[in-house]
Amino acid sequence: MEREETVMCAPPGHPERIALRGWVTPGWVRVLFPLMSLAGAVSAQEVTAQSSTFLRFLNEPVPRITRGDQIQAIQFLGIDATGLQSDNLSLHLMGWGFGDLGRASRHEGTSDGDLSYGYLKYRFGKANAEVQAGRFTVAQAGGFEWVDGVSGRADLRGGFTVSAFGGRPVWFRGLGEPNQTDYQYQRDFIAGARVGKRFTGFGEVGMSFLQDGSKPASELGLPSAYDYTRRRAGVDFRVLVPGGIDLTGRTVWDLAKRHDGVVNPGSDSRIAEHEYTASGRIGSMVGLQGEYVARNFRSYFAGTTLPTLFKPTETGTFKAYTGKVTVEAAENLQVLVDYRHSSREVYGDANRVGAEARWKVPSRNLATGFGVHRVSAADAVLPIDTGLASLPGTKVAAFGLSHLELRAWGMLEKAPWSLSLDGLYHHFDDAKHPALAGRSYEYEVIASLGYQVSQAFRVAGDLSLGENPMYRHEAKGLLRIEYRFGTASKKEGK
Amino acid sequence: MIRRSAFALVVVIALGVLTACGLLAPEASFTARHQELPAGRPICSTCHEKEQHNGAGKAYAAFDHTPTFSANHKVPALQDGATCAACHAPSFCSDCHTGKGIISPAVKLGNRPDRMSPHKAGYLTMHRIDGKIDPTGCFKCHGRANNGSCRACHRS
Repeated sequence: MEREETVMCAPPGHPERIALRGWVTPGWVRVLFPLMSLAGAVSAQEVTAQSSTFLRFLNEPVPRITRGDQIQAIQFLGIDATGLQSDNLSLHLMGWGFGDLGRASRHEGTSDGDLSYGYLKYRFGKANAEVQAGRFTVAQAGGFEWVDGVSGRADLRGGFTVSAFGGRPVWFRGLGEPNQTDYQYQRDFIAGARVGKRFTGFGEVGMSFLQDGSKPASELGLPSAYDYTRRRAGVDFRVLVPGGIDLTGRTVWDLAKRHDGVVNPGSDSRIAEHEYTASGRIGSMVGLQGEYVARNFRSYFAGTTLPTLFKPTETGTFKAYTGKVTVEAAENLQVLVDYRHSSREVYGDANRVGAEARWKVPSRNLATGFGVHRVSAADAVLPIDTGLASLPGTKVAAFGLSHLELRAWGMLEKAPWSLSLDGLYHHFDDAKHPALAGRSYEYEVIASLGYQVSQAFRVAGDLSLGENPMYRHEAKGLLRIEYRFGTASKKEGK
Repeated sequence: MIRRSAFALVVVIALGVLTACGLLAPEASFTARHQELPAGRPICSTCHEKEQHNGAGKAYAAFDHTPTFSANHKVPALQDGATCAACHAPSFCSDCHTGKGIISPAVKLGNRPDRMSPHKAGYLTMHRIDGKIDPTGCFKCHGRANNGSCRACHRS
């Protein structure tokens, strides 16, 4: 069926601003058929395929706006084939298709589909060397990218390592062409590399580089006053201090030249990110961890495909300090206490503190957990938002963001049945916050009952009930059918 | 410009491969597949007590799946992905790390409350609070991809 034209009749953000299209579209075809064809074509020693089918029922009525009844069908299909012609060659694919079986449930349209990843990988017998080609994820110099291209890595003599990739950033087309103007910022070319040196028993240091895009902003199809080209360099390290202390960290610099004319006093730093973590143990029962993060918005957000949300023009930085203590209180009882202090210049400070306990009873195949966290955040005083730019020094009072979070969950297995319960509750201090619609709390309880039909075939049903400011009363159901087949050995949960 | 960059990249890669062949470490690669492990989080150092990991230059204990390991798996996953691949298929990672997600990890893993899956109940409300406090936390997953739904509201 041909894709019908998008109809936009409501203002941005309105739930009715939904692309009304036929649900059987090339989205399904372009993902699932290639996957199935490839699966049949490959001649592999071992092939494993995972299929997950979800039927999702939603009742999310927005008062005076939507009825809320929706049915979604979602199919994930993944294939891992090893031993293709050679023992070292493998193929990995994962794609999904989606369709609304009733009224439209998403802003992006009533059907969709995409290839999450799909690549051929060759592993060499020595030096942990490997090359891969196709669609894959990669991380270099603080970037986390989906790339259509090639990549490789290897250990070198003397403890050195090298990795590199190049290709084109994946375009995830979510909306119709007229609504994809932000995608103009996603460039035509991306490449990166990292060189590291490992000191056995002591740690590792590395340097990385990322170049994203080959055109200046003025040459884009949609010329932009803002140049979001990314060119980054990073250094990272890992140090193993005697006594079992492990230090890891990285600093990333933004090297791109920009002439966007944005005046942002105080945000001239070219350091996009600091991220440092220290962890260690006291005896066998207590684990400690501390983390420091600092991010400069202008440099950190450079290259975003959504500058209307992640504004590279925002003044200032975000900083956070985190501490965690894990105590193995008993053989199967674990308690985690955590604290995080964060500070955003244009907003203010926030403190999150809490604890979580996890308890297992292996003899009864029972696992359970409880958590409580309190977020104390300064009442927001925000700059007036003018879209792509903020007016320096102009501020208006906003509302409190402090809240309490409670969580409890449990899992019970009695083959072939499994049962889980998960409850989450939030209490907000300031019900006048515009996002809360006068409601001071929200909660959701999810119950799931599963049945393992065979080693490879499992069905489960989830039911969730809740209340929240957006939908008031919300009810959701989900039927989950998971099927795993192939010639490779099965590994539960892996 | 694109062709020139692509050509330069190919040349660099070709030269790099030729050079690197003579520089490759002689040690055998890490095993492609670990033997079957019992259910639950593996503590590698239980068996590989003080052993150094082949290639990684660190003790196996660095890969122990402790509670904090899950929260900080980024570094080992990026630097020693081959180690992860010995037990985990790529689909395990894509449960959460999806370039363009169709359902949130918390919904996909609704029957696994023990797993760390973001965007649990009512997150449409909570994201307005979390986003004000720390927008860089959203950027990691939604800054470059997986933001079609964000764009529907955050348009201007």
